[in-house]
Amino acid sequence: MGVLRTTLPWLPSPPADFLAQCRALAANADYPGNAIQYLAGHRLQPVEYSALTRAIRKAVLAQRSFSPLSGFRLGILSNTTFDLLADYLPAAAARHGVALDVLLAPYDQVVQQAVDPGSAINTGRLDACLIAVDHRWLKLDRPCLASDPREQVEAAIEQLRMVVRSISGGGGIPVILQLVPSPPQSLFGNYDGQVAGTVRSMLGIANELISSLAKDTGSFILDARALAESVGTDHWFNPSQWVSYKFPFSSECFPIYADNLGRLLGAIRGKARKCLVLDLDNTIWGGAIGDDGIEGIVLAEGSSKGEAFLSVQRAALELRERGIILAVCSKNNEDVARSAFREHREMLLKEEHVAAFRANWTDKASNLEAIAQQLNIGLDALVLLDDNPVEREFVRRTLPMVAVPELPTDPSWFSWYLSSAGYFEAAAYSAEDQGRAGFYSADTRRNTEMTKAANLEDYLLALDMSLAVAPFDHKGRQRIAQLINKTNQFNLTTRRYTEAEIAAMENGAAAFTLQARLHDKFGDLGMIGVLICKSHGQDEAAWEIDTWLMSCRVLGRKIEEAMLAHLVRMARESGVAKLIGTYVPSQKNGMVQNHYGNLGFSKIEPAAAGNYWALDLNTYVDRPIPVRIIPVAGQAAT
Amino acid sequence: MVRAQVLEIIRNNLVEILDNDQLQVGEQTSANEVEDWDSLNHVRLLISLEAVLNIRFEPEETASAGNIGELIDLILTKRQ
Repeated sequence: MGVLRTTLPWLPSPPADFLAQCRALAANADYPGNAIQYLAGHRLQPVEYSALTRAIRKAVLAQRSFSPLSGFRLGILSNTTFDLLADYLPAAAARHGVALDVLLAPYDQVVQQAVDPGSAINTGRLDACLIAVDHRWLKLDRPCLASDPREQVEAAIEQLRMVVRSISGGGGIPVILQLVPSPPQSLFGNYDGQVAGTVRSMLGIANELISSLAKDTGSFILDARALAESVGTDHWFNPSQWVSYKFPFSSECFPIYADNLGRLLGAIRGKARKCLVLDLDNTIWGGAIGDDGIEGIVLAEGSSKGEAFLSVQRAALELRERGIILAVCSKNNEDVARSAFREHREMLLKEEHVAAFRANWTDKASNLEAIAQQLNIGLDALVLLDDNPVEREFVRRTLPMVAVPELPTDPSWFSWYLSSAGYFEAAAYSAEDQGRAGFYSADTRRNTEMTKAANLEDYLLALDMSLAVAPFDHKGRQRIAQLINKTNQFNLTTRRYTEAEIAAMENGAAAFTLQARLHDKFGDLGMIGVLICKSHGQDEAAWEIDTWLMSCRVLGRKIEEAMLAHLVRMARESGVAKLIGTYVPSQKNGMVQNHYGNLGFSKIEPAAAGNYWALDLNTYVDRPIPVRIIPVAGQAAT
Repeated sequence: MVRAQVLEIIRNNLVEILDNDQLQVGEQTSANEVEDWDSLNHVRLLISLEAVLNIRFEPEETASAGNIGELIDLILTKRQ
């Protein structure tokens, strides 16, 4: 028998006192975020989901801080019974870095809730609304052989479009749409797909239209169809639970559905993992290279074990191609470990694919910390793939924020475990994402340049940097949203905005917007900075800097000074005499606490509550910057 | 599996579902005697028992609540 996705086998078993720990959570921890995420990272039974979700709900009601989890308030509209499924959602979302608060609309009130401006959904101050409707709501649950099936499908999608528009029209709430699984029952058997009016054919068209609807309306997709296919629709659909409880699908699939939704919410909040850390011996090749030697390790086409390990390497390379950073963490002598990458003819992974290489005899937790530091990413961005259960348990205990999937003994399943766990979920995909792994390799070359230069100024000039600056526009929107929702360290206020809100800013909802792209002599670094200013409430001649963030790839290059120079120029042209900056401390943005001070702003004393800074543009003297600024008008700072 | 074990599993599940660790139940207890043991929580109990005991209830079985003793009878016939 294969492995069942519905049991989430990549998660470790929960501690014996799991339920007691859930109760303790409700009672005392001041910042329950870390404890909640740790508990959520296990393979849970239904009552364990209920207990953890209850603890999270109590903490939400008590308005406690969930740091480092991101808060998220999700509305759900469904034509099915979602109450029990909702027990699973906050626990599963916590697994993916989100403190979820669910607002479940009453059963089968999809249209009513959407069109009524005073409904719970429309007045619920939601971060997003999931429209969890199935083939029954779309009235595509029975064949349409007598009349035009295309018309039937289009009418169904028009109804859905109306619901999406009503919700978005209300207050710009982003929508999550589901693709619709097709039940296993067929009418003509193998011939089903040839007849336009079968449920299978109609749902095929409906799903294409839902995908376009999502594109048109900037909605996210929860691909319930792909999930049902992976699980198998025989397992997904449960006719008995439909007639008894009106469950949308089998309760056995509640945990995996909840996990999938949690991944998506995590990706929307920028919590998806960024880096895959690979163990070597018996993880990407068979055997121990220290004992067996370079010719002794098992890795080759033609042997089942050798092919299994090749498939692990191939999966890692595919992830790298879409922008996931690769690292190595292994107990080995570095020279011996590297020799396999250099000399073994069957190795698909080469040294240049690996952004951080740690092979030594120090413990893995310390090495993972060093990898995160070297790559300038958080430990919560790492996934460790390791065949050794002792190492896995050690890392989980020492660094609970690192994701460590369980693995079976058979290596041919490793890539299935890695992919099924959903660590690298994406809510969008841009050219920057694709190039990211490459940036980290180019960084190594930039560091070499640094060691050649006599001082920082010379180094920065030698980089030959140009910064293309433009207001927000349609072309940049997706990447802007990604930066706004993912950037934690160099981010003065950590305010998150949806694509819909960003679109509104393109059309004047903000006084000033800026997207900045950096290019240097080693290549294009893509969009690396975002600025948003709003008119200051009391003072018309002042701009308040609502958002200022930069990608950590470009720290230490005076890009912030270049962004300020451009901001000052644009502000003066608009007749603005003063800039006001705010620093909102978070658990991760300590590096910018003196940002405004360093740039010459003076602190407003004594500010009410908060950390406010002002820059008087009448007296401010421009500073020299080592960057050419290239304004790009209107469309596209490419 | 003996009756006492099944009773203990049912009790433990109810404690979590009803969020009441002081809960006292026996074979004679039925849902309408216990605070918060409503139809939704009854479904929660059945779903949880299905997962823990690896059994499946059928529609008419889930509709008739009865008392805990009858639920134990039903579970034991399925576990044979």
